[in-house]
Amino acid sequence: RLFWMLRVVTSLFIGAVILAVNFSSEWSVGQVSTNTSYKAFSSQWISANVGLQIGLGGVNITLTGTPVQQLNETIDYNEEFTWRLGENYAEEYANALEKGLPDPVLYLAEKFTPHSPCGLHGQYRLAGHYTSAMLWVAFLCWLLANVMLSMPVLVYGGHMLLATGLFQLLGLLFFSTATSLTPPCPLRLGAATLHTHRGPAYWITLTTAISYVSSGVSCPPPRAS
Amino acid sequence: QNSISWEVQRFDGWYNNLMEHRWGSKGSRLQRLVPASYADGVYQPLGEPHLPNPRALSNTAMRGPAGLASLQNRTVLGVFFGYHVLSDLVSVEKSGCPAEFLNIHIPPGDPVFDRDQSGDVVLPFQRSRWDPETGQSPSNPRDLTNEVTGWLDGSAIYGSSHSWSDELRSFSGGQLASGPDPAFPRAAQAPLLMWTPPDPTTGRRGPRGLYAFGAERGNREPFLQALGLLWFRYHNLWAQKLARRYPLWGDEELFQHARKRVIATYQNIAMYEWLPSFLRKMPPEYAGYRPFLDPSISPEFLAASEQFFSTMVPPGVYMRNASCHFQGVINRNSSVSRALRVCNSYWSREHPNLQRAEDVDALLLGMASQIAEREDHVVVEDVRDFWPGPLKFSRTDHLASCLLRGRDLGLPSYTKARATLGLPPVTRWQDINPALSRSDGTVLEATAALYNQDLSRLELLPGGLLESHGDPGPLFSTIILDQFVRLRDGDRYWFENSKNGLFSEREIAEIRNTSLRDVLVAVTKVDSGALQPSVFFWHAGDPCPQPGQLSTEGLPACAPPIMRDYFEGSGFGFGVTIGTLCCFPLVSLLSAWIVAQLRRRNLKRLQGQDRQSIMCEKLMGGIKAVEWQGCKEPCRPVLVHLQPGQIHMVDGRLSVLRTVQLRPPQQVNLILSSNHGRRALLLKIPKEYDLVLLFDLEEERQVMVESLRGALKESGLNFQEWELREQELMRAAVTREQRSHLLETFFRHLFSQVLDIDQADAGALPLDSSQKVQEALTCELSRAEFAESLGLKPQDMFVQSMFSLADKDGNGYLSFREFLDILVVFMKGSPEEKSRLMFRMYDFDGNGLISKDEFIRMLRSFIEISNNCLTKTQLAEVVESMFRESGFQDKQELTWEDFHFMLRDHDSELRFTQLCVKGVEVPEVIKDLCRRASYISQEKLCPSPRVSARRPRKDADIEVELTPRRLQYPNDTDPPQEIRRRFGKKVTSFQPLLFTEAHREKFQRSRRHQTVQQFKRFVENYRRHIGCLAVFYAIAGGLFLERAYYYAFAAHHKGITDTTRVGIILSRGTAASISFMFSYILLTMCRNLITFLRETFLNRYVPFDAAVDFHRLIASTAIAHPYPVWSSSVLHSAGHVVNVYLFSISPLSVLSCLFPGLFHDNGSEFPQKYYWWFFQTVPGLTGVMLLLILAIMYIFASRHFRRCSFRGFWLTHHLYILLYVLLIIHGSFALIQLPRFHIFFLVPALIYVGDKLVSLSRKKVEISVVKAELLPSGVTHLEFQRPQGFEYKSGQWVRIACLALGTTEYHPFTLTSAPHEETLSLHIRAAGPWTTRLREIYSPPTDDSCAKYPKLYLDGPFGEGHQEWHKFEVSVLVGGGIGVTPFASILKDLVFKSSVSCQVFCKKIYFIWVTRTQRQFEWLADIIREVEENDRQDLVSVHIYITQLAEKFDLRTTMLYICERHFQKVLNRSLFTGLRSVTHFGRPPFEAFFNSLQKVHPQVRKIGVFSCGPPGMTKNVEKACQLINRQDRTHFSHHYENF
Ligand SMILES: Cc1cc2nc3c(=O)[nH]c(=O)nc-3n(C[C@H](O)[C@H](O)[C@H](O)COP(=O)(O)OP(=O)(O)OC[C@H]3O[C@@H](n4cnc5c(N)ncnc54)[C@H](O)[C@@H]3O)c2cc1C
Ligand code: HEM
Ligand code: HEM
Repeated sequence: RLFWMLRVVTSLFIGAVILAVNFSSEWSVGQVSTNTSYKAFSSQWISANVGLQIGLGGVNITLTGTPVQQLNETIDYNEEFTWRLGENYAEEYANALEKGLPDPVLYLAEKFTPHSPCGLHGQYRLAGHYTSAMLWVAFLCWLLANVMLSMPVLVYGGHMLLATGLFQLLGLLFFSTATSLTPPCPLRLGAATLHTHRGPAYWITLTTAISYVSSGVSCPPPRAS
Repeated sequence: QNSISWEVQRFDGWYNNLMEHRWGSKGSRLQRLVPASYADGVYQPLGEPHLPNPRALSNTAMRGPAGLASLQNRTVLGVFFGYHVLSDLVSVEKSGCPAEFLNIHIPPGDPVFDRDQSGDVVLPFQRSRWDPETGQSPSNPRDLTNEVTGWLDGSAIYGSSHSWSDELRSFSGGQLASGPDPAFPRAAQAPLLMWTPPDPTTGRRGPRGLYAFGAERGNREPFLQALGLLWFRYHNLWAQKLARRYPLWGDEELFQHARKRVIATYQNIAMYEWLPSFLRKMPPEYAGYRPFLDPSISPEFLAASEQFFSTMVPPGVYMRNASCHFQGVINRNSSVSRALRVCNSYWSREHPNLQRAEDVDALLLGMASQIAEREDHVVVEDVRDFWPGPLKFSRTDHLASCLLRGRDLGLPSYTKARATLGLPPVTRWQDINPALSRSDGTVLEATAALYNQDLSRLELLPGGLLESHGDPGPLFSTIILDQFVRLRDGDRYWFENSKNGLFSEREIAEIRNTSLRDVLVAVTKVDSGALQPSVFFWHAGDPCPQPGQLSTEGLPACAPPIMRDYFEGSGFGFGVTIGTLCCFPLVSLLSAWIVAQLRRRNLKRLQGQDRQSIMCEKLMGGIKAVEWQGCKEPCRPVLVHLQPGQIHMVDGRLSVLRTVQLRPPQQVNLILSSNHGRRALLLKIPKEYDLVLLFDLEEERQVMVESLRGALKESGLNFQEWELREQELMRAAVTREQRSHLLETFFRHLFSQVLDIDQADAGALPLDSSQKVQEALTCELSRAEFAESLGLKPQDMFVQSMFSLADKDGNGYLSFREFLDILVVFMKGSPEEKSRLMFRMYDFDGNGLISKDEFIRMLRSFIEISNNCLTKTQLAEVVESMFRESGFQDKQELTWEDFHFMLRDHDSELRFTQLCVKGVEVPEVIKDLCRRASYISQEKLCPSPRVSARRPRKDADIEVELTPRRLQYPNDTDPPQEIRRRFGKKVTSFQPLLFTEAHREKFQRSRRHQTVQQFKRFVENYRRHIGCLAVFYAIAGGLFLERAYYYAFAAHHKGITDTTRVGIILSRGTAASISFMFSYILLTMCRNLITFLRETFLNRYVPFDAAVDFHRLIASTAIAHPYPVWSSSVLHSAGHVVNVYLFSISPLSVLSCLFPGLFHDNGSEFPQKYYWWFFQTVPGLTGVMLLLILAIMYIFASRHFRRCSFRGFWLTHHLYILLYVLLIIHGSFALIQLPRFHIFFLVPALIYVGDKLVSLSRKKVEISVVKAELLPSGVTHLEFQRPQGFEYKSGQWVRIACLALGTTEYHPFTLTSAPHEETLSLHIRAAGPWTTRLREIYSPPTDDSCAKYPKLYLDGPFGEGHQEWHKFEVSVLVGGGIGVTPFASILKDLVFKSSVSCQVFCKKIYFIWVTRTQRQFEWLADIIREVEENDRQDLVSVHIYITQLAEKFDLRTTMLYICERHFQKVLNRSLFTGLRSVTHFGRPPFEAFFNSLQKVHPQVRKIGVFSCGPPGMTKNVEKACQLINRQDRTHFSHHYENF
């Protein structure tokens, strides 16, 4: 009984992980604390932490003042720009410009516009699209695996687990190759430069993938038919 | 601490004005000074009839010789500085989406563009990008957007967006990034998106050789480049100066300070030095920042400034060094000329003369001292005729393009503009430019003629040019001055605006008096003496006068215009690609053919050595050899044991194959082969058919010969030996096959009379037949061989009785001679002989006496046969009375005499008896009446009654056959209908069933009515199929139309329909219908679901049984219907091939509109080649792979190929998984629209996977085989455990896989066990490789413990259970060939139900089994026998029809025929088959049969007819049912299934 309960809980947890990581935006993150200009019509500079979280469907730019209260304002922004298949990123950026977001946020958002010289938009949009597709397929395989493991066909269940792990790995591979094709884009905020590195979502997916592949392979080897 | 104390100006021009954040920003609208004037008031530009042809206007108004110096001595440097300022303020050259074209029709005979007088040259001109919120309605006509910042903010130096400037910076020392030479900026390589059109002179393309500037089009000419380089160096100069002064500053501070300073200098020079040099009046003094002034650029300013600069561009530009030496210029063809020709240096990469920084300085200095062209209406040919062309043409007319740009902008007319700007109105053409009308009036008159004298139509551009003389005309100068003043006063970051904290007063003053000369001197490090103080003018006395006013003489000619063909050189490749796509099916056809050949070969090999593979390892003891059985027969390995007087032949499993008797009197001869390694041996023994043995080596044969000689000597046989060549040996040998063939023909000859065939066509006996026939007849057969030749099991009753009768010599062998004698006796023997024979037949224990009970049994069987109205008790009484009368009641055994005596005396009581030999006492009268038709032709009546032994006629011993029989069939004992009626008095209680002849007259109805009837019947039968098909194709068609409508009308904003209207409608429409079809094809293959749904009410609407046919139909319409005209995927691919062609010939500007994510218009103009579309895009590549897969699947799934190699079909069919994966990827790229396939695909896929899981959970359970039995002629009877919870109905089938033959290969077989039995049984005929191997594996090994049988996987039950039969009171089951298997289970189930007397609605079942020969279906005879045994209520009456032509009868059928015709049933069982049912020979007459059924069961309204077998037979049954139903008496509802 306990073993059965344990198995159900872990498999549910892993399923939730696959889904969550699909929607999270922690795939490649970067954080820098620097002094930058803040808003239009004022020459004051602020010192703040500028965070960049690039997910599969879009990018989150955070600006938190250090300290938060500066120029008797609370500086704590978290803006999201999406480039999923249906949305139009350029329009979102134009609205942001119209809205008058702080300069660093606009600066980073502009880097990801479709025709900005860096070409980040095309890269991340493609990578995000196909990686999330892979993860959806992995999720389906996970569902199938669970169904099969509850049926008397363990060997096929093992195969499905292997497939889930492989699809996740495929997604990760796609994300990392797609995002490392072009030379890195200079993200200069004031004097400091912002570098992005693989985020927690990336590592979580990697670990679940490896665990699945190993459990899939170590599953009862199919009978020599 | 932070040295940047001022608010840094944004790069994209936003947030300059406090109130209007958007003013002057990149992408904002141009603000009109004068209301727009469009043809339709909204966006359509004014065109040809209303306004003159632009090229004609340009030829008339702006043509003239180069070489006239500027009246005010303006220098060329001022002109290109103006161009640089213009590129900083406004750029509208980016083409708009969706692409709209205004074409310049070149008048025929144009010197530059139409040299070959073709008259149809059209220069394309694409309209620019406009603000989508405008141009929709009259009050808000179309406004173009400005691609750069509208401010004078050095966006030409630093770019119009922060990310653009990041690309230009080096991020070290505040400097701009430089290439290998610090004086030059970095190259224009990606990712920076500089404008890189092909070089019109050399045709060279690509970004290499161009520099990265702030302005996208900064590399248009080397002269504009020079100014860009000037400012680039000036910035780096300042950065270095600041770095030296403030070493502590970081890169950011240095950069921003330097930038602030450079922009201020730029603003100052442009406003206070360059502008006055042009307008020759100083702008009003700076009165401070005016926040409410709109500084936006006006389209009028753009047109005016662009126009004015173009008139001052010289044909060439001097280059000089600081010491006024004007250097020569090396041209492309290495000739030297005075100056750089302007028209040959547009977009030039790595120009030979501008490699080093000094060259740029020389160019700047040269420009500073060269006088520009006169400011008049004349424009040099470099600009007017050889301007770099945007689309397809390498050159275009700049003036004509500007005119069209003016019309695109909707510029007002000249007079309206003057009025709005408050200039005095002009009424006469001469008043535009009085000086010009005086000096050269013809220009004005010609222009007036073009506008047919209507001054109000004169456009702004020609008007502005015409009015200018020495200085920009009043209109242009007011527009330009007003614009610059607004730019200065409305700009918060203007350097003089002290409130923006940029500069201190001192700095402002310092900047105010820096002139361009100071910048030049600082950058080129030449001493200030080499340059005049104001570089925009060159007055006499200034240093380095130009050698002479440059004109086109002495300068190299301009490279002529060439027409660029995007599809050049790829026409052939495109054709080849389409060719390969088309012959995908051919390739797969070829591979299918190869696979079929391979399969056929290994099937033959497999059947050949099937015995060898099992046998060879188990042979031990005895001499190993291979027995040759005939040229076509496979050789089988045997083990020969020599015992005294016998030769035993044993096969691998030690079961005795053959034993040869060696009896002394026989003459044995031994023949040895003399060639081929001498390894063959032929043993000819009389009475036996020959034995041919092949040995591997000659030595082995020698050993065999020695032992043979010993054995023959022992048994006292004399034998001869001689040698023959192996071929002759083989030919001489008489093998068993030949012998049995011989016998068959012999029997047919003998009984031709009986078989109603004339001897001639009973098969030709070989020439030396008499001697061979004698031998064949004497040949002795063991019991097993005898049974095998007759296709019976050794323990069969017929074999037993025949052996007991015929084996005269009792040696356990039966020769055909003996067998023949009995037959003859039966046929023709005298009654005594017959009774003696019968006596011996019933004397089972062979002691010459029949025990009483044997006799009773015989009598009972007689009585039973003749008239089973007697109950068992009555029967016993009759027997007792007979015994009493003959006084034998106390005798236990009866001798033959008693037997004979008894029969003869008491025939009166035994009136109904009949000697078990039929054909003896047919009432004369009956025979004459019966008409007999031979098989061959119905009409041929053979009058002569058959010869049959005459027995004294018993009076009226009518033997009433209960079973309906074919009338024509000359069954002597079946009096035709009329006769029976006459004799009817004694009719027994049963309703006689004989048929009447089918009446012919009611049949000829009118043809039309018949066809209508036929059609009505067809519709009525296939109502459900037609309904489903209609719904399915309606949906598919609907989807096609929806997409077609969307792309035809609704998707105009995407512009794709303008490029390829038909192609996109066709491809997207078919794509939608394909997505639907390919998704819902899966539903037809959810076998479990279908089996489940069959039972529900849905079966009334959806014909589930036709699922596979439906599957095939969908697939063929989705892939390539026989006539591919309307098969979707071929149409789809064709549509896209057209699209690909059109995309690969449309320019990049159009493609970047259609596919914004994929293409960025960087001016390179050439689209991707066709192979990029096919093989380097996701949809293209997957599309091609899809085509390949579909071709393979379609060919391998064709009916012919499925029959010859099902395994091949099954493997290729599993490509469907790959097909679906590719389809999802195919649409995933969202090239044209968002992917929709997965929406269609999700639901059916889930259902299909669910169905597969249900099967999977069931079919991987191992099931052990209980019993495996090899039935004759290749049929294997398998009995295996029934998995728990396995419910099925009779007639359903399962799919089994044998673990020993691969766990994935499943084959369907019908269950022949009845649903109530606890084990499941299958009868599997060895048809192909799988079933043959199965038979071997389950062949019983000697120690046949069933444990050793390999286990099975079972999946099912599937298919339609023939369950409806119990819904009908009377039903007819017609089984043809293998199709009879479902009925086996039905019969068993039915009998079980009736025996357990559960209430069964069905009263009577007629089972008709039609088979060409019983050869492969002996096992069914056993089942029918079993059914007959426990069918007490006589529910089932069985009829077997052998449809084989008499001439082709094999031995078994001949015997069957003879017994049926001539042997009365023993114990009411046919002697041969042991079945009570009667076997008929010929085709079943369904109409007659159904007709008589109506008579026999008049009260039954509906009779169910179930047929299963080859299509030919089921069609006959269908036709018969339709025929009968037409008479609208009882209705025959027919259900059929084809195998
Ligand atoms: C509904 C149904 C019921 C059947 N019942 C019986 C039965 O009771 N007794 C019996 O002897 N045979 C039956 N058969 C036929 C039997 O399935 C084939 O003879 C057997 O699969 C031959 O396989 P093979 O590889 O030895 O021969 P192959 O040479 O591969 O095939 C010979 C023929 O069998 C067909 N066939 C082969 N494999 C399959 C398959 N997996 N599914 C469908 N058709 C196949 C091929 O189309 C070809 O026409 C039935 C077939 C069907 C469809
Ligand atoms: C002309 C084309 C086709 C023909 C004649 C054809 C014929 C058949 C037949 C006769 C079967 C049944 C085999 C059996 O159950 O023994 C079958 C099974 C099947 N076919 Fe097709 N088919 C065609 C095309 C396709 C296509 C295009 C697809 C998918 C896109 C497809 C998918 C399937 C599937 C999924 C099965 C069931 C396989 C299984 O039960 O494991 N078929 N096909
Ligand atoms: C040379 C061959 C082919 C080419 C160039 C081609 C090209 C394309 C293109 C460009 C699209 C649009 C994709 C998008 O909008 O993102 C498309 C869609 C589609 N094609 Fe093809 N195709 C080819 C062959 C096929 C074949 C053989 C099939 C049939 C199985 C097929 C099925 C589809 C389907 C179903 C879609 C719609 C996908 C969706 O909407 O999600 N294509 N094809």
